[in-house]
Amino acid sequence: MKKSRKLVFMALFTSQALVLHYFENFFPPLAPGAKLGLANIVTIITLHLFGFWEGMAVVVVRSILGPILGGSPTGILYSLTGGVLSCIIMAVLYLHFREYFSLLGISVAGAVFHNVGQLLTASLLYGTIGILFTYMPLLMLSSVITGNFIGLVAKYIIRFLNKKAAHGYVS
Amino acid sequence: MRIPIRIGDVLVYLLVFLLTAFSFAGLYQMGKNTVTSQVVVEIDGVVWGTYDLPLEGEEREILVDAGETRFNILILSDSGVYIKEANCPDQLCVSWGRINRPGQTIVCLPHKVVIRIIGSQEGEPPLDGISS
Repeated sequence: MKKSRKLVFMALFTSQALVLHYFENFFPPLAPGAKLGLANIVTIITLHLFGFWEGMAVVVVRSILGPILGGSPTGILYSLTGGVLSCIIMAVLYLHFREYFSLLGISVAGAVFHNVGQLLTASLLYGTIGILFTYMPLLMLSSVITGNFIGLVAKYIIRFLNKKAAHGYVS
Repeated sequence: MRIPIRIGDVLVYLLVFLLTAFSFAGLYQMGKNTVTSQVVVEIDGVVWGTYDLPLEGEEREILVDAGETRFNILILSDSGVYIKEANCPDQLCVSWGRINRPGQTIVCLPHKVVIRIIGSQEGEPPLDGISS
């Protein structure tokens, strides 16, 4: 793929991630801090099409701009740690251990580590590990539900992209 | 359609289960030696009163009498402690805002009033700002 073409794709992915990040605020949370993680779809697709560093770039830009555009710059620290941790996990699993994991499992792992990252940050910021213990069980439950949902969506998008790629539309 | 569960997915769910069990165990450990937070009011270095933080939805108003018609009106609520009104000249304690974590203090220097929260942290921290 040409360099400028790739740049355009990544800019599009970043903006899609931002819109999804904003959009999911309209859904009532399952638990405090629990989100659908719609932007994770974009992360998985970027990892699939480009690779680790590109996926990481999209995640970092989204994690910084998302809270700023959403009006709560304090959220940057949380979304950054959660996003980066979950991106690393998903990249390792998806790019190196794909034969052992289904996309749904990878997505659940991503959601789990997103929440673990956020809770660790909150625990460090407030100086008590109690936050982690209190919120972990509920967030794990929501991770399993949303992770499976996100994985399913990503699976169908990747299937669609592969079909298009076979006809020479993408990449 | 083939069965989508693979060996790695089992590991992921095992991890979810372990993390959940770990946090319940941690909560249990913490619950054993938790002291509820208390609010201590000191005037000129002497403890004037000690109060428990009220339950959810309740609010208590305490008139802190620092002598010579000097007063601070302290509000205890489930979300924290703050001074609603005071007749001190600088009004710094009123603009100090809300405190809700052990170790935090509100100070009114003109009245020599110090309000501090003691005890281990049990109240829920404000997590509203967290977004994924």
